[in-house]
Amino acid sequence: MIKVLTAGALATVQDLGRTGALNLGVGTSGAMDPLALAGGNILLRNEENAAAIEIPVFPFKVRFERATVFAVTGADCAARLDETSLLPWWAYRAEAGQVLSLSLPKPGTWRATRAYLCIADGIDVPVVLGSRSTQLRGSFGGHEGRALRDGDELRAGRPNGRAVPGFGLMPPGLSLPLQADGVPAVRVLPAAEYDCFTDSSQEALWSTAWKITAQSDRYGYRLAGEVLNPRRRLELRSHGIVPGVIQVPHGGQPIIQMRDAQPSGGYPKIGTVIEADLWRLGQAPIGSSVRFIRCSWDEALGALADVRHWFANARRLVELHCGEGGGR
Amino acid sequence: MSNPLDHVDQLGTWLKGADLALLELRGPGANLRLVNDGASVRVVEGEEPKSVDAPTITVGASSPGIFLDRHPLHDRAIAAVAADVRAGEPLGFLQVGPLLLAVPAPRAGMVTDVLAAHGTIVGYGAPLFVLQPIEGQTS
Repeated sequence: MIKVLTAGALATVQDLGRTGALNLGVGTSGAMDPLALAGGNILLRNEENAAAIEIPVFPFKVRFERATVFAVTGADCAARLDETSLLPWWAYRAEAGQVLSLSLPKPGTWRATRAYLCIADGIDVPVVLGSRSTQLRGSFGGHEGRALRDGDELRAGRPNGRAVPGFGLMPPGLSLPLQADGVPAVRVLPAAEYDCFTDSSQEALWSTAWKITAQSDRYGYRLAGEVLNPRRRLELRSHGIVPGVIQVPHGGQPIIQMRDAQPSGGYPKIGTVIEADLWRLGQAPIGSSVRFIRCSWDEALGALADVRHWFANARRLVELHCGEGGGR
Repeated sequence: MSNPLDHVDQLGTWLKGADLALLELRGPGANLRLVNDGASVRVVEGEEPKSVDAPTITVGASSPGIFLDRHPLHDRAIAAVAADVRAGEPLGFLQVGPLLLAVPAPRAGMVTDVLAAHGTIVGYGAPLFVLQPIEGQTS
């Protein structure tokens, strides 16, 4: 069991998401950086979809009420266990009573903003519609359907005794870099209304940088850049949308739907950030810029296969390492 | 059971053939260290070759891998020359694909030399650090 001493703001319990409920009007939720969550679960030999705590605001502090193996993945937030400095993306054992403190991520070799506290056997909260993710809009899932508060107590899942402390994982973000002209980039598929935008707007989408404004959160990222204009005014009925969809409201400044997006909307869609690259946005700091790289359906599937290959390989090597009594 | 000491010649041939720097076998009564310096393979008696004046410990690679003197998310070496380290603390890392293994300090002490360059591939047993232990402290 862990007790939250300092919750910061908007820390939530998340797994890989609540897929398959869009038809019920329920968005996907889930970790903004699914690679960090999955990496943590591989490191701790948890089941792939075990839940962890997503931490976007610091400082964040918890006390382990029982001994457990844990790892902090995602952003490097100078974690300390009592007074001892910890490595990011590393499996450690905490004894009962020890306090874990996370501080503001420093810009190091990888700019990231969200940390994930993963514990052996995962965070045990009730499964709602197939997921442990917090659905903030509907106030269900996760821990009581809300962000964590000081004093909250969270339990770990049924112990399987498989986690081994004493080693780490390479953050996958370092081995999957993607930039355009030195600016962090994501790959985008043209969406249904792409052809309804002017040639110069289409050109601007691919060739200019987009600033992530302060009006950006788990629901969506509002971007600032060149104004994107439709060839003529578009009026659409509301229709289904998914995380990654780039909408262009009347002002011409795009919004990227993120994990907590509502499942329908009526703005024209100029593109869709591919699923394999959503984690890059999930870690992009407010105020930073992002570029869009046009990609094909096959390239989008290939990118997802690359991510899955990385995980399969990591899981295989972790099993080999732990199976050989490598953990000391 | 066959005694490895009876097969030193064969083990030496394999060591050279595989281009491995060190073979170390530890048993309850005896230790065998075969060191391959490229030219020849020889049996080294005892633990580590030590100089009488400065009793230092050479810390070797516990696995083949890419030697990293810092965590990949950090921009500074975790234990540069002259750094004081506690027993068990990582001096550096070995990257094996997506895995990151620590090179732990066997004893508390001061790093007096770093023998491998950041980012180079090292074999099992390759010397990585020289550590001057602090008197009276053991792991």
